[in-house]
Amino acid sequence: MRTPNPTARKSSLTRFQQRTRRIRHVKGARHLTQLAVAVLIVVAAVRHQVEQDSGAASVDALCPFGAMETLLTWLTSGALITKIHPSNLVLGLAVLVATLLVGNAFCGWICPFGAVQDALTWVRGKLHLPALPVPRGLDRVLRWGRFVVLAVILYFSYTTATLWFADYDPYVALFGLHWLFEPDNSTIWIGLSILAAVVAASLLVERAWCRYLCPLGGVLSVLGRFSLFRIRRAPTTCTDCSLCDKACPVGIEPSKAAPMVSPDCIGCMDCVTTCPVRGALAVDAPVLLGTPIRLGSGSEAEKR
Amino acid sequence: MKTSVWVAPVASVVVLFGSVGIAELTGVWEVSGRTALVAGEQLGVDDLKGWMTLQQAADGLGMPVAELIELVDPSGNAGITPDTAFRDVEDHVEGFTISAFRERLRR
Ligand code: SF4
Ligand code: SF4
Repeated sequence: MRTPNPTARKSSLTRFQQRTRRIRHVKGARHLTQLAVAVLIVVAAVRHQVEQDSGAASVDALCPFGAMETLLTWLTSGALITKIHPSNLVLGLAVLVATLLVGNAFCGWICPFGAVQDALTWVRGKLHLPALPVPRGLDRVLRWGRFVVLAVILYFSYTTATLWFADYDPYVALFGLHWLFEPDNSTIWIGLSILAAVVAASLLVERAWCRYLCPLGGVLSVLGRFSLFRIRRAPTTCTDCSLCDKACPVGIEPSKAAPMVSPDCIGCMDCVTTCPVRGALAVDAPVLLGTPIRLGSGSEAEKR
Repeated sequence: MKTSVWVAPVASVVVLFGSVGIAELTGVWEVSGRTALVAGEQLGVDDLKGWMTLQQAADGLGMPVAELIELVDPSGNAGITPDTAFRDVEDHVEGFTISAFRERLRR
């Protein structure tokens, strides 16, 4: 019996079929990665709650944003704020290095709270709920909310030398599992109320927390400007069909990129796989401060 | 140069988990301030941690636990027992923080 040749099989697919398959593969891998990380965090939270005396990691200790929260205290006194441990510094440094190298794929592929919001978008689709359109001007203003939240957290973390944001953090409210193991603890209600508001907002606007409020997302969007890898649009090849805009979970308009997409990109790659025009959108590297460095004679996207 | 859509996600996952692996191998990976308490070992005021029970703290400081409970909760209304951890005292005694308590003990 002859074994089927995968290359021959691939070339027998139409361009549309190939594109659909690529979309499915990338989306599938992304959601699997998100799920695996979310499971790891839930397991850690259960261990932390059940094995109270074992020193098992809390969800606070497994968050890269902890490195930001303790940064000022660490730089000025050499000490870490309460509930922050070297693990936070390791994770913070790793996310910083990864973002500078290849862009912010942490938010699109790894962050468990991003995964929850993607799940909410899926629920909205299943319930046939309409998405709330946010006018461009308002969207641009609201995105500054991430930096306001960041400034408030840095100020109070430094002045109180505690993990001040933990009581308000929707990620901790959900993944910390205090609602399951200590429902009588009155301090959890502020976080749970904020979580409920974020869930409601994310049902209306895809990844509302990431777009407008997440302080780590804000930091990563700044770092993303310096990334060596950026998604680049080839204006002469792009047909302005705007299919990529519809695919973007954080409301960026890759179809208007000139030529690099916004540093608010979370690296999900949905726009690149969705684009029906070969070479119109591609991941470009190396890029220095938004300008492609040409090592040879032009990018492949341009040559096509 | 056009690169594959897989580079960024794969590199991010590898850098993140690789860093955790390297930190574990080099002993840098610490996820908790909890250290094993050695029976009979003397503790200083700065050694008091949120996870310690009042009994553990009293043993380490070399003072009767009843005295420590009275210092923590002078009104005696919060239901503090020797098994209560400092971090739980924060939830039951209004205004109690372990850092302020350390200061009080120091004075
Ligand atoms: S923006 Fe914040 S919540 Fe959203 S994926 Fe990134 S880190 Fe997670
Ligand atoms: S610009 Fe593209 S890769 Fe970035 S978040 Fe939007 S769809 Fe995903």
